[in-house]
Amino acid sequence: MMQKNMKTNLYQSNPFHLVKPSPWPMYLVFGLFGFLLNLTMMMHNITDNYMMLLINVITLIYIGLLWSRDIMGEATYLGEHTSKVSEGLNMGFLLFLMTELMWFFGMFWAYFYSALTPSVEIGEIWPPMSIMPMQATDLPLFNTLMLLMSGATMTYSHHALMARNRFNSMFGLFLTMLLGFLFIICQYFEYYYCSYTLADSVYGSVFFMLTGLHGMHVMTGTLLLCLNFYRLYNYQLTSEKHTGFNTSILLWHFLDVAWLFVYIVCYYWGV
Amino acid sequence: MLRRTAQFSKQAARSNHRISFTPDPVKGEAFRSYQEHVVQHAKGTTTLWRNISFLSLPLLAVCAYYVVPKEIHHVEHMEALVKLPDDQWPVEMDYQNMRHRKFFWGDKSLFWGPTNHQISKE
Repeated sequence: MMQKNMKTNLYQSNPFHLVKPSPWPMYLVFGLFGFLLNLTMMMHNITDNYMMLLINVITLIYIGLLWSRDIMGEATYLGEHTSKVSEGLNMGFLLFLMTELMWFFGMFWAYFYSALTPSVEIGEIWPPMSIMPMQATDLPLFNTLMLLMSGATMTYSHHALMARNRFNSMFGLFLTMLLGFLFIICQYFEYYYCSYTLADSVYGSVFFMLTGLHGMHVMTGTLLLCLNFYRLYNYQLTSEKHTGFNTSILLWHFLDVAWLFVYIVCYYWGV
Repeated sequence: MLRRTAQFSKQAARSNHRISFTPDPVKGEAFRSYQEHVVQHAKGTTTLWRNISFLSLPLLAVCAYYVVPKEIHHVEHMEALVKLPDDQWPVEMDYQNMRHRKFFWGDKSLFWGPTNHQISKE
């Protein structure tokens, strides 16, 4: 480590991380290709072999784990993530959030397209007849409160980390994880006892597309929080440098705001 | 380890490479004092956000108190609906329960509860 730093100081006159060749991008591409191919073939009833899809999913998860392990090593033990590199990583994540924003924008577009001028096939009314929409004051209200509160606990955890307060940071992060899990469970419950399905007119399609898109992201966000909890527990995050934690926080707040829009549009305006 | 490090630094001193990193004490002190400022500031805001988090807990409990009975009622209603005889089921419109082909896991949609429609016979 010491030698490595000395070497870097001697020969590297820039603060950037010049990455070494890594097998994971290539493996990931092949894994993704196989996954999408098998998924498409299953969706079109060309094959019904679940085994291949399962192997693909396991491969993808395995590659993801190994790749993140490499990055964590570079960040924590090799000191490759200088301030400049962290800045770049943050910027990259913000660009990724922009693409997410556009995805949500597209889905909202689909919702408004169907809702503002309902087509003849669904009787030109929104929601279509004999579809019982969900009430905004039922479970969705509880979900909204939980997500808002998780934003507060997230900030609590982040500020405690910056204040070098390990216990409070972990406690806040634990609360956030708990609220995230609860949100997912409540959402499952809501879907399970919903009176309409994905296949019930365009109303069901756009509703489940929007809320499902958000739900998938909450699942990913909760996974990221778990990862951060593990890193915090292992003393991998410091008060000065916690880029991964920062980006997870960004994603979580993004989801928070996105849910507010989903709630207002899908559960209040569109019913 | 130490011996090797010493060797390495001697070797480095002999080589023609310019040491690209020269410490700047002023900048270093500025960085340190900024970090210290951040820590001091974060101490106050941690308390603030901890209080906000804990104060919102009762709010969540109140909301649960309001929502849970309504949700139980909803579930009971939906489950009673299943027990209705076929001719008393709500009218199913043309645009409902669409099946152009099977899902790849079968006939039912992903979150198929006990309360969804019966699948129309082909």
